[in-house]
Amino acid sequence: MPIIVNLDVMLAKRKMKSKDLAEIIGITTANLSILKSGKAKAIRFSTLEAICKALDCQPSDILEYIED
Amino acid sequence: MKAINILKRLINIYYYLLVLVLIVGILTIPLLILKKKYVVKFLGEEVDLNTLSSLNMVIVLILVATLWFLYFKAIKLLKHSVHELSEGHYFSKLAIGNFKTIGILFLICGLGEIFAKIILNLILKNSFRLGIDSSVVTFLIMGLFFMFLSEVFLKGSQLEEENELTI
Repeated sequence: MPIIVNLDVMLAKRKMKSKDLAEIIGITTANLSILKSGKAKAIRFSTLEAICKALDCQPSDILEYIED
Repeated sequence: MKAINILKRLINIYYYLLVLVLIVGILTIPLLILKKKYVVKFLGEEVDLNTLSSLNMVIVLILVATLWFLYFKAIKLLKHSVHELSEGHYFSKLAIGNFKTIGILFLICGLGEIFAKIILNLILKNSFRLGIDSSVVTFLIMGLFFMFLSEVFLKGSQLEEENELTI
């Protein structure tokens, strides 16, 4: 898929663990792992909003479009 | 009681009745070949076994047994699929694959019945007749319906996967 999830990069920048982020935004670590690995088919606006709020960033910091 | 549970029980009863018929059929075939004193009804045609040569009788028996076996296989798959659905696995690969196979088997049964009736008419009456009746049409409709149902379930499976992978 040409949409790349840069959640790992943002987590490293904010020095936050995946487990902590999962707890803050209220999803399971398994689902966060699916999101990080790029296996997710879609992301809800509410989840994106919660991630942006927790990491103090913009959606474009997490999602990136790369042409095939 | 849920409709699926009633359907499951009904198909189970029907399946075991077919097993019983299968056993009786297997036991009867040698008797038919050896004694030749019976008038039996195959696919709506009355067949006097006295008038048939051994080769013709073997052809008739193979045709009927093949069609019957395919029908039996389709019902067995239907039983497994309904069991899967009753357990809530609506979009499992097993159910999707089974529905497609059931559809193909019903289609083969329908087309096979047409072919078998042509052969029976050639053997018994020495005439060519295309035997398309309601049972043939029902088989063809059911076959295509099950094949379509398989496509619907495949689409459902994709939607379910998409839903599960929406975070």
